[in-house]
Amino acid sequence: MKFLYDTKPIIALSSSTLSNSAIAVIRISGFVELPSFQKVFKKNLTLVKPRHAYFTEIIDADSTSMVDEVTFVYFAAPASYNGENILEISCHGNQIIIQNIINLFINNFDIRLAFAGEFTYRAMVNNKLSLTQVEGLDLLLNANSPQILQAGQSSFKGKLHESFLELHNLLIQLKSSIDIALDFSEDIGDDLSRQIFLDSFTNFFHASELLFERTRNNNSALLNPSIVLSGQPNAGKSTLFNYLLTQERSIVSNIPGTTRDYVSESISIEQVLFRLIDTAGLRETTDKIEQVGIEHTKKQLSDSFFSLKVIHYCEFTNTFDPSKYDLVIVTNMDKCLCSSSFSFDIPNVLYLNLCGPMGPVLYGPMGPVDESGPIGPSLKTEIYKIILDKYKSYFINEPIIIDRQRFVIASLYNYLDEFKDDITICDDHGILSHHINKISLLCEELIGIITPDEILSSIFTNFCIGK
Amino acid sequence: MNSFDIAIIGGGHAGVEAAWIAQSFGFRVTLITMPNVSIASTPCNPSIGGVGKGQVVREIDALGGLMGRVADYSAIQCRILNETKGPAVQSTRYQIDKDIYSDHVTKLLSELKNLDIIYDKVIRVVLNDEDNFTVDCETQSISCKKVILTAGTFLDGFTHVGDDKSKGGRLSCDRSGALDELFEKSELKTLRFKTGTPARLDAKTIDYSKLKEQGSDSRTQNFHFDHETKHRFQRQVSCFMAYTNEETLSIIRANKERSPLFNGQICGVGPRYCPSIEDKAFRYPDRNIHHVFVEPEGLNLPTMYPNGLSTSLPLDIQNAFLRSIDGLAEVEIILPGYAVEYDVIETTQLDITLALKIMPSLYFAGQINGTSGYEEAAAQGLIAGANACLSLLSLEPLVLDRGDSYIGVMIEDLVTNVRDEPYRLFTARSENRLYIREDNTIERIAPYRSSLNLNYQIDQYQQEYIKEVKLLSDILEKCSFISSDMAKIYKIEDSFHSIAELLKNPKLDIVGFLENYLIDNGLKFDFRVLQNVAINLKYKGYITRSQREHSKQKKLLSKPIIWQDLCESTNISFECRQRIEAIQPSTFSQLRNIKGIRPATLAYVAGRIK
Ligand SMILES: Cc1cc2nc3c(=O)[nH]c(=O)nc-3n(C[C@H](O)[C@H](O)[C@H](O)COP(=O)(O)OP(=O)(O)OC[C@H]3O[C@@H](n4cnc5c(N)ncnc54)[C@H](O)[C@@H]3O)c2cc1C
Repeated sequence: MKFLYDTKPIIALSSSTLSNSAIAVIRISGFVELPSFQKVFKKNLTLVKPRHAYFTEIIDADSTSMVDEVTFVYFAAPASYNGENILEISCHGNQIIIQNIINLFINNFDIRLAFAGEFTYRAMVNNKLSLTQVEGLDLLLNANSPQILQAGQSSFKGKLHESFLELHNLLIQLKSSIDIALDFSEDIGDDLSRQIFLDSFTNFFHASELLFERTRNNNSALLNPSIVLSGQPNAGKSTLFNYLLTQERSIVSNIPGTTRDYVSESISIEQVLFRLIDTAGLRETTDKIEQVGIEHTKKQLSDSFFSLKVIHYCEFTNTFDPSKYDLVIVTNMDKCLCSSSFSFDIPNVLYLNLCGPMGPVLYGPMGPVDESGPIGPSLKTEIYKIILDKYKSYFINEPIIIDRQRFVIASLYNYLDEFKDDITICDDHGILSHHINKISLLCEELIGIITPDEILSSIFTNFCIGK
Repeated sequence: MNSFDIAIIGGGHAGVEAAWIAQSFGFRVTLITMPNVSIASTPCNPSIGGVGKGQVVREIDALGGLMGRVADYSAIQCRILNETKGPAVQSTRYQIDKDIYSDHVTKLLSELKNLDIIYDKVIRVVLNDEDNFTVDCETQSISCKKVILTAGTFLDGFTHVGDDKSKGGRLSCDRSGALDELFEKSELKTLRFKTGTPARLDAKTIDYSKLKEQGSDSRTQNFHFDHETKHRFQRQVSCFMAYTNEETLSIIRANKERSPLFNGQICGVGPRYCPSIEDKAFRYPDRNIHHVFVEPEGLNLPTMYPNGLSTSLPLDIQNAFLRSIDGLAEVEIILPGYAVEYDVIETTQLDITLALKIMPSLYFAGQINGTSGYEEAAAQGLIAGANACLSLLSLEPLVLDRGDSYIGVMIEDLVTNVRDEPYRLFTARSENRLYIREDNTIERIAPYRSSLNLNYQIDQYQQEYIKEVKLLSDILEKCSFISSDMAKIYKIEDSFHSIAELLKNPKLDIVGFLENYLIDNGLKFDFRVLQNVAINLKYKGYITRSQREHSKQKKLLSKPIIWQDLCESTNISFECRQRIEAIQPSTFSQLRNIKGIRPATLAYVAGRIK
C-alpha cells in the first residue's frame, strides 16, 4: 500500500455526473467540527444532530447572497462510512451550482479536493474497512459484468468477507489451542487440550482448503476477459471478427499477412464486457513488422480468457490438436470437396462455409449476405453461448478474483498441505508452535495481525482458567 | 543525613533484586522497607517458577540475580511442567518454604557491605535537583541520586474479608501513601487493580487419605548456575489434590450479596487468569468441579495453601465452603483468604529502562507496574536496578530483546500498552517459543550480562560456557561421523551419517545419548552445555529457518524512530499522533505494538526508515 495523502479535510462530488441532473451530492470528510462551516450556512449548525436531514440555504460568505437551497446530513465520527466526520450536501445538480459550492468550501476553509477513491482510502486507514473489503469495493465500482459485481459485493460485505472473518476466528482458535496446551494444561488437562488442538487444526485446514478451491482458476482473466482470435493468415479470422462485431472493422483482403498487428474491440454478451482481439496470423515471415505482430499474438493467446482458433479446412489435419483451444472454427467448408473425411463430432469444433451454402455445413454461412443463405443468428448465438458458459462456470464456486488474495491463500494452503502430517502427528509443541506461527504470519496479509492479548482473551472467555 | 547512590523503596521480590544487582556495581545502596513485613516474602502461593516463569527465573539467574539461587535453596517440591511436549517448552516449578526463602534472602543481603537495609516506612520523596532526592521516612531522612520504587500492593492498599475492609497492603499490614502523597503534585496516571489469596489451612486438620498425593521429581534441574544440577538442599515433601463439588459452589452462589467482588465493595480490576472461587462460581454456573491443589507453605510451618480457592468472602462462608470439600471436613482456618486493592502506575509513562519519562532518575519495578507474580516482579527489579547503575555510569542501558528473552517480552509489553488487567507472563506472549527455552538461557543471556562489564564468578563461568557450547557444536557438526560399528553399539540405524543429524531424530533421548557417546569417547562436558547443544541441534533446521524469515522483519523492528518527528507529521492522523505522544516509542517494534496504531501509519513510517 502506498501512502500518498495527507489528512486534511477533503471535498468531492459523490454522485458523479458531468452533465446536469436533478440532484447532486457533495461530500466533505475529515473536518474537526461542523460549526466551523457556519459562515456559509443559514441554519445554526450548533443545533444540528448527526444523522438528521436538514433543509437550508448555502450562502456566499462574502456577498451573503444565496448559492443554492440544499438538504444536508451530518455523520459524526466514528460512526460514519469512513470513520471521520462527514457532511453530505444534496444540492441542485446543475454543474455551475456544484462548482460554486465546491469552490465556496475550498476558498473559505482549509479543505482540498479529494483524490479519486480517497474517501474509501480513509475508511481503510481508519480501520472501517479491511483491505479485502476495499479490494471488493474496487471491483464493485469497476465491475464489467454482473458476475464481477456480485464478486465485489461478496468481498465487500457478503460471503467472501465472511469467509475471511471465519478464517480469522478459526486462526484464533488454532493459536489458542496451542497456548491452552502449553500455558494452561494444568487447568484443561492434556487429553482435552490435545483434542482441542486437533479439532481446531482440522477446522482451519478445511476452511483454507475451501478458500483454495476458489482460487484455482485463473480468475484474474475474469477482471478483463478477452476473446482471442488466432489462426493462419487468411483462414478467415477477420471475417469472423467482423461478423461477431457485425460491423466492418479489420481490413479484409485476401493477401496473407494483411492484419499486421492485432485489432481489438469490446463486445457485450449478456452484459458481460469482453475484449475481442483479432491477432496477426502466425506464419514464418521475414517482415520485421509482421514478426512483432506475431510475438504480440503469442502473448495475447497466453493471457486470454477464451481462445478461438480459426483454421482453413486444408490445415485441419491429424497433426492439429483442437484441445488446446476453447473453440475451433474450421472455415471454407464450402470449398471442401472431401468433407466425408471429416468427423463432425469433436466437441469444441464448428464447421463453417465462408460464403454460400454448400457441403456438410452445420451452421449457415457467415460470409457476405446472400439471399439463399441467411447469416444465421443461430451461429452467433451458438458461439456466444459457448463463451458465456465458460465465463459463468468460473462463478459457480464464488471465485476469489483478486490476485493478492489468491496468492496469499495459495501459499497458506501449500504450507498446510506440506506440513499437515507433521502437524497432526507431532507431539513436540515447540515445533507445533513454530508451524502455527508460520501459518499465522501467512494469514496476516489476509486477515490482519492477531495479538497475544486477543488470544489470551479468547482463552479466558472460553475456558475456566486459574488455580 | 545519610546519603546513598541508590535508594530502593520496598523489600519485596522486585526490591531485593534491584538492591542485589545495584550493590554488585559497587554503588552505595539502601533498601528501605516496612518494619513488620518480612523481606522477600511470598504473600500468595508458595511457589516459584512455572510455565514461562521458569524461563524468567533462569534469565534472572543468568543476569546475576538472586531468585534462582534462593529458590534452589528453599525448594521443598520440584516439578518439570510440559515434559511430554518436547524440550523447547518445558518449565521448572518449585514449591518453596516461605520462611527459608525470606530468611535466606535477608541473610544474603545483610552480608553485603555496600548495602544498608533500613526498616522504616517512606512517607515522602522529593526531587531537589537532577540525580538528587531526599527520601523522608517516619523516623529519618536520607539523600540519594536514584530512587527505585518497588512498593508492591501497598500503594493506597485496602484489604477485604467480607464486609471487613481495612487499610493495608496485605492482611494485618500497614499500607503506603498513594503516589501523589509520596510525590507531591506528581500527577502521575494510575489504575486500580485487585488480587486475592485463599485462606491458610491448619495442616493437622486435613484428612490426606482422601486426597491424591503428588511427589517431588528428583530429575528437576536447579536454577542457579553454581548449584549442582540435581542437588536438593531441603527435605522434599508432597502436594495434594482435592476437588470442589456441587455443595461447595452452591454455598458460594447463595452468598453473592456478601461477596465484596459482586456487591460493589471492590472496584479494582482483577486478573482473569487468576479468578477467585466466587468468579468461577458465577462465570461458570454449570461447573461445580474445580481442582484444588493443597500445598505446604514450609517444612516447619503449620499451614497449607489451598491453591484455586482464592476468595474475599466473609470468614463464616469460607469455613463452610472449605468444609464441604472431601478431605477438608474438619479443617480449621489459620488465616482467612482476602482480596487486596491497590494503585499501580500506568506503565506507558515509563521508558524501556523502567525509568519515569518525566523524571528519569526515578524507576518503577514489580507489582506497582501492574504485573502479578514473584518472578515478574524480580525480573523488573533487576532490570531497573541495573539501569539505575548504568545511568550513573553513563553507560548504555540494559535492554533485552523480545526475540530472545521473556524478560524482554514483558518489559516491552508493559511500556508500550496500557494494561487493563494485571499482567502475567505466558509463553503465548512470545513469538519465539522454540528459541526462548530454559536449557539455552545462558547462551541467550550471556551477551547481556557481559555488557554490564562486571567481573564475578558468574562472568567467568559464562565465558567458559559460551566457549564450550561453540566447541561442542563444532565437534558434533564437523567431526563426528557414525561408523557402522558405532551404529551397532548404540543400536541406531546406520542411515544417519553424523551425530548432528542423528540428534534431529524425534524419537531419540538426545541428551542421554549424547552424554553416553561423549563419555565413551573420553570427552566430558558440563551437563548444561551438553543439553543446550543437543537441543540446539534438534531444532536447528526450524530455528535458522524462522530466524532467516524474521531477520528482515527484525531488522526493521529494531530500527530507532524519533517519535517527536512523527508527532509533527501531517501524514499521520491526529489520533495516531496522540497515541504516539502518549507512549513515546523509540523503536519501530514499540510503535507497532501500540494499541490502535493504524496500518497506514506503520506503512508510512516503515517507508521512511533508512
Ligand atoms: C493478597 C495477595 C494475592 C496475590 N495473589 C497473587 C496471585 O494470585 N498470583 C500471582 O502471581 N501473584 C500474586 N500476588 C502477588 C505477589 O505477591 C507479587 O507479585 C509479588 O510479591 C510482588 O513483588 P513486589 O516486590 O513488586 O511487591 P511486594 O512483594 O508487595 O513488596 C512490596 C514491599 O514494599 C514495601 N513497601 C511498600 N510501601 C512502602 C513504603 N512506603 N515504605 C517502605 N516500604 C514499603 C513493603 O513492606 C513490601 O516489603 C499476590 C499478592 C497478594 C498480597
